[in-house]
Amino acid sequence: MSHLNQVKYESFVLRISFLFVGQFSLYEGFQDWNRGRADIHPEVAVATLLIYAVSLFIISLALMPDSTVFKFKDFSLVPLILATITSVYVVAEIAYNGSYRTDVLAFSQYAAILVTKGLNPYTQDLTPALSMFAVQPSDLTPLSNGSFLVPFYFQYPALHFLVFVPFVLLGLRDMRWVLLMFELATIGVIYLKCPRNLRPMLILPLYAGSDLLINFTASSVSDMLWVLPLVLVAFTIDKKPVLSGILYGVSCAIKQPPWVLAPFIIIYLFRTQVTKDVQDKLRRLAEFLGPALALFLVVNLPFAFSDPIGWFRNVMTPITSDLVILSQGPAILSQVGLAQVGRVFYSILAIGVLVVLVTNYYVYFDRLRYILWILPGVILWFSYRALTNYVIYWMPLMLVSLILWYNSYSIMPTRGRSN
Amino acid sequence: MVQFLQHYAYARSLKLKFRLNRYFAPVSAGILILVAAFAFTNLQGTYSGPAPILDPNFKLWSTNSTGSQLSVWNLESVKGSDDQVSLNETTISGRDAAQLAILQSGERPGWVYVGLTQTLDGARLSALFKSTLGIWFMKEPCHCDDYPFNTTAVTLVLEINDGIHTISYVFSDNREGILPLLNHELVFRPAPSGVWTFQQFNFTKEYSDAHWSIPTSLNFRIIFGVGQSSPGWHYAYLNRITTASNIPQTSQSLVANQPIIPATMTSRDSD
Repeated sequence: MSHLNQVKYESFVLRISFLFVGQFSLYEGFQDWNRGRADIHPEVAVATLLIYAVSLFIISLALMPDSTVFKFKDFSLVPLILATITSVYVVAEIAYNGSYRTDVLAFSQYAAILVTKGLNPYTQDLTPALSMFAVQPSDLTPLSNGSFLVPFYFQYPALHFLVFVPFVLLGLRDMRWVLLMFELATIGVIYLKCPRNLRPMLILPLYAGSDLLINFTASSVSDMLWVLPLVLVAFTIDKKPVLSGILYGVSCAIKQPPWVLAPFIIIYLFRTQVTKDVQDKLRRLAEFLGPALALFLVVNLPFAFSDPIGWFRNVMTPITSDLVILSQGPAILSQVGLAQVGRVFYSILAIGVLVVLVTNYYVYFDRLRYILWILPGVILWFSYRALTNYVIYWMPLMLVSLILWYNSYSIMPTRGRSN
Repeated sequence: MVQFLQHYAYARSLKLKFRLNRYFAPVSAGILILVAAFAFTNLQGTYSGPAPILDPNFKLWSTNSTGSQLSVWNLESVKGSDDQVSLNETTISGRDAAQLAILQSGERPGWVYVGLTQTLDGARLSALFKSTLGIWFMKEPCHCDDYPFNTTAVTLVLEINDGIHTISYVFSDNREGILPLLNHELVFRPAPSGVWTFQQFNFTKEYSDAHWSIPTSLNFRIIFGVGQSSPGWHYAYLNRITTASNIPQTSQSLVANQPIIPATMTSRDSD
């Protein structure tokens, strides 16, 4: 492609992204105007005005001369971040009146409070958190017999509450702002690591809908906590396996979904052609897995020490307990009565898909190398509790993988590209 | 010769690798489909659906400014300014229980009621009509056999209401039978007082017998009421609600092998 054509192409892509950003921000501004009760919340009126202003500005930019367009190429972040922060505030603080919409964030914050008082959250009943954070009964997950796993014990690895301890000590009341910080940091890392010519365009998939970055965060879905370290894992895995391993340990010490990545990461490390010597490959593997395991144990052992079996049982609860089937995956067929198979079938299916994907990833590594970050989402989609957040939170990782693919593609010779 | 063999082995390994690469994906997908089909066939009927009643054991308690409450049950009451109602977690005669308590002041004409309710629709409602529901409870004497709404009555009632039709199961002292009213049936179920008692209900049969169509939503209530002429504290206890796939019977009564406590219960276990 000639330089002129390339400029024209990049300019066109930039203009399209400006239009998308402007339209998305206008949509969110309108939603905030609708649900934000501006009549009694003047701050919402001011924020809505700002969103509309920057949205109209960026839409206008889309048909300005090239020099102006390129001058404002990073401006996309302004309306997007402004709309994100405003919408999270409006939904969390006004529409939900400050209440948490998941038990997981309520339990995590309560566990962090317990830790500051010297108590082990894995041995304490966390039920008071439900009234403390006004969690609605409809947001609790029942077992298939309608009862609940009472008393409630902490069911996630320890970093899921330890991350909130500093903020509890600082007096922060609503931990959704911590989730938002992790979210903005994730966007920032992806944006900064992205080749400059792709920047505004690359983050657009994160905003293809309001759920991932706005509604789920405002509803207290905590998955962004493990996404940020995993994004850093993806960026460092090729050149800094020790650092990458530490970051993977951090991610696994926050929540269980990153555990599903383990076999794919092992294959990735083993099959990546840094060296052909098996011993070197194994050493590289150990450089990654050793720190990952060490970090996980360092974080969790202090809490597991007094009752290791109890800790293990609690952490495995989301996997082993007889929770009611709730799914946006194939299990929806049972949920609506079109199939009469229970949770065992979907567990077999998910394990079967895991085995098939792992083996195929190994065999077809040359072709599938960069796809690994979405494979846990595919596996979890087949499970009996395939909720949307088990799937869409892998999107930032797919963007990282796209960057890595793009970078490797641009340094490869024209012929013989296999990826 | 050695060189030839090495070349031959290398070429053969490449060929095998090519074959493996070509067939591995479809073969593995095929095996997965076979395993899934086998599991699907052999695990038919293992889905039991969501339970119709949430927190059937009355275990999910929370505390707020007004005291303890059951999180997924709605608490309803009708009372005068001098009357009191409360809901407490307690243990009585060896069983955990939700205690419904009423202080009837006798000052106001009419009844004092306290009730626990859940609204059922969708899959939970379907499950209710596919199953036989049972409840373990302990009650006071009803004094309601002549007329359920006499002023001395102390009634514990399980009621379902679909917005048009209502069935009220009154746990009476001795009376048994159905008193049909317009779109409302009073079903008397004799139940002993002061002991844990188990009763089962088949709502599908009741609806079928009454020639009512299955509703799209339903209010499930457990109501405890005390008439004006029975002043003082009164209690009813709920241990748990069970569901089983439909058993072709309209009722069944069991009495737990527990020590019988005085028929007029005055214990205040958790107050």
